[in-house]
Amino acid sequence: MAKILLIEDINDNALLVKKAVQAKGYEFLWAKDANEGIKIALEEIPDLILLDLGLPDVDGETLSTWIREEKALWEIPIIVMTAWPEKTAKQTVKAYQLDGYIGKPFDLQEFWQLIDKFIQE
Amino acid sequence: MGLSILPASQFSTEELTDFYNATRVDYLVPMPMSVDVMAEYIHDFDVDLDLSPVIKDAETGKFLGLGMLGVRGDSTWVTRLGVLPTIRRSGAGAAAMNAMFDASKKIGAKQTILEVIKDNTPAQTLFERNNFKETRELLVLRRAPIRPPLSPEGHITWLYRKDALAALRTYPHPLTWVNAQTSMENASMFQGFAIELDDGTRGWLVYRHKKHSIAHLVLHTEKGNPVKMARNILLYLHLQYHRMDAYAENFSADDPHLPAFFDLGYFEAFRRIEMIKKYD
Repeated sequence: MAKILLIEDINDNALLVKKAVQAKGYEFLWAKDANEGIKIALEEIPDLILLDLGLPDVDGETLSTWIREEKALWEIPIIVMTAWPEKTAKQTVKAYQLDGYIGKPFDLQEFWQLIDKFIQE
Repeated sequence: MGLSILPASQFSTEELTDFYNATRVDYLVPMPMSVDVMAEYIHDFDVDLDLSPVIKDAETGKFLGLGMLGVRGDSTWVTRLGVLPTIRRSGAGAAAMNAMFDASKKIGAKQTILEVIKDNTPAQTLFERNNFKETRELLVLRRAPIRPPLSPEGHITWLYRKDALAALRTYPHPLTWVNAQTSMENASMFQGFAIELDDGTRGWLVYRHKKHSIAHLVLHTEKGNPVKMARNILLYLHLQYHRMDAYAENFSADDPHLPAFFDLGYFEAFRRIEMIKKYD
């Protein structure tokens, strides 16, 4: 079963993603901040990371650089979840060499179109 | 709904952090904080918790909103102002704001400063109605950690804390609250470089070396071409810290060094509007 790690500090947002991920039969992992996120990522080696950019300890951009520094996590796709305008989200994805972004609030169909691409690979 | 206004000093940093984060859950740029980040923020930016209001429901004691007031000399700074999403337009935000204006006047402040995210029109309109005037537009820039492909030209001198503070003291333009001399004096790990190029161009860059990023960059060209100075000094910075994220905030939209930032891989994350209210 594929494992998806969500790093997101807001409970309501996390519950929406949890519901979607579990309905599809995937394992859902959740970290509420960057430090917990990197810890769970290293312990569980998920198949995909969903990353909120606004985290309380360090922001998502910086966390993505920590993840990319860890050899065990190099290959894991990172999808950003953000309410930033499209232009900013695209620039962030490009600059931090991430794998895509999902706008908040997310559309379930678009969510799975993007996630499925990476999970099925 | 009856409101009670309490000084933030009656609450722990943990409680204030929870309050603050709860007000921001639906923001476009929520900027949540951990307890450590909040404590550093209060310290570095001279937030006076005795003058910072926490708004509660007078009957139930339920938290509704808060604001934080930085105090330096005859200026105050409104920050972290927020109200729970479910009770907006109930007067809690106005109560927090008025408490900070009253506190500012009481201590003899001549002006109150704040920054609002550009395009947050409701907030900006509210501040304008409270006699805040827009002073300038500020850019917040990010740069992912990539090793620059080039080496800098010129002669570099490291500026350790004392020298970096001395350089910042000569900065000829107004600095925003978070990049001001006092913020840097309060902060740990503040340093910089000076550069002199063969054609006589010279200048300096100061910054905070935070645990996970390079932040609060301020640079100034003393002589010569500002883009050339900035490009070379930023090249040096990012060669030194090629594995660190960079966050450069509050550059004036007409700052002559900006083209060098974009050449070096910075991008604009968002803009703020600085606003000032003067007291008679």
